[in-house]
Amino acid sequence: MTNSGLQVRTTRQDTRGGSQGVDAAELIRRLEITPEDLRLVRSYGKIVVPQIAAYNTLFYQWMERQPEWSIFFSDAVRLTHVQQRQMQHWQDLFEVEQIDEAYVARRVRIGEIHARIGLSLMAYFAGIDHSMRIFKHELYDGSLSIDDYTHVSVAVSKLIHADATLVLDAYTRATSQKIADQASALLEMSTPVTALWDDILMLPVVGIIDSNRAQDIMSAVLRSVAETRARIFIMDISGVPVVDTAVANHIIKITRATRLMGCQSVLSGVSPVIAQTMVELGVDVGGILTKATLRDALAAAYEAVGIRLVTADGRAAGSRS
Amino acid sequence: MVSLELDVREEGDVPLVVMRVRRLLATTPLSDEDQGRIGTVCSELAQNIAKYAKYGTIRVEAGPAAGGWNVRVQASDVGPGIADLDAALRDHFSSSGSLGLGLPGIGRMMTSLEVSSEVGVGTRVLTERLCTLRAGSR
Ligand SMILES: Nc1ncnc2c1ncn2[C@@H]1O[C@H](COP(=O)(O)OP(=O)(O)OP(=O)(O)O)[C@@H](O)[C@H]1O
Ligand SMILES: [Mg+2]
Repeated sequence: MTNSGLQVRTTRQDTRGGSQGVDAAELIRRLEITPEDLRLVRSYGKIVVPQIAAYNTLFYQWMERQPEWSIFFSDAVRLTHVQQRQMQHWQDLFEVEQIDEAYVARRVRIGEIHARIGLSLMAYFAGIDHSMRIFKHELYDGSLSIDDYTHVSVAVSKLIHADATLVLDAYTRATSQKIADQASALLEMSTPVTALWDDILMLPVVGIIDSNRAQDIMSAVLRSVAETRARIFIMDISGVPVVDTAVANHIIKITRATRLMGCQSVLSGVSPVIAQTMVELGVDVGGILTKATLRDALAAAYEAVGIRLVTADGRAAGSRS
Repeated sequence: MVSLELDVREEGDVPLVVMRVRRLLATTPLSDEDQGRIGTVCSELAQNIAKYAKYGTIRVEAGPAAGGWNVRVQASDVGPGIADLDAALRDHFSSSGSLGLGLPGIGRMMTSLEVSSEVGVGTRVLTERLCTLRAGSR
């Protein structure tokens, strides 16, 4: 028996709308960040940037008590690296000249890294919140008037919230990209068009079929038909829970296309529920050869390619009559 | 009474709708035939939203009623609307080269079907069926 188990891979563009994310102009508009805000943040930077090492100490005293500590910071080299980056990040924020695409990109990158390593958003926000307290209170030297301090505080909050917005946005997009990738990886594994015998191909379809998947099935089948020059293609849909007009349409198209290539399609595993649905929808399956079970389809396929199964002692096998 | 509301924004959402609706129905005593019908109806409606409108929702409600369980499916979208409702409800009418059997098929599978639509505003489809129960359930 041939058992080539042809696997066909198809890649597809991610169809989720524009993956650019938040841009600098939109961020400034949404959070109402003014040049005055940036000036206030820079003026406060003169107080806290010289104390950045103290920030680092305070932050990591707190971080050590967090559940993520042992997972992410057990490695000393990595810890030092992350601390350096983090201090640079805050310095970048407190010395901001303008919020441009580069400023945005540096923050987006942080979100992507957090998503990649699997740091939870709760841990991220706890860290942001704690950092804000260190900068606004613990490192504050009391040198501003109450009014000035209030304005500075609002401006600093805006920039920290801008950070959080960008990180959250990047995090969410990275996560949904991951899910889309996983789904398409699953899809790739799920069209195992198999040569059952010379001239006979079979594909068991399991699960819900949508247009993308129907497209994958169509190209996988046609490619296999071309490669093996099969004369019979059995598509078993006993594992498909729901058919609708779109699925029916795809099935009809697949059978037509294989026929053009000289290969007869046989649809098997049509359950009573699906048969009833097709009839009520009004789908014309007149031109499609259907069999209730895979066994029946196989018997028909063997007959069509001129194979008769006999048992070792020469009796006809596999026939129920 | 069980219910569910789901967003549809793109074709990829359609199988998710179908999966969630099937999970919901599995908690009810509906017969397999009727679970299949409702699954297909939701698939058709979600597909139409994904294909023709930008954004919409599917709402499913199922609860005991005299003579079985009543299931109500409502699909609303903010899309282009349907200019010719009579045509849209006719067999084999399709503006996308598909079979054109979705809406009329729903009409055959369900007890009632009501489509209201305003061009440029959106479409609402409301459909109900008094469903039979699985043998052995009350
Ligand atoms: N939500 C909607 N918004 C706008 N137009 C719609 C909507 N639903 C259906 N239509 C229009 O009504 C027509 C008929 O819809 P129907 O679902 O019956 O068929 P189809 O979607 O074209 O094909 P099929 O469902 O058989 O794959 C569609 O071709 C489309 O023009
Ligand atoms: Mg349709």
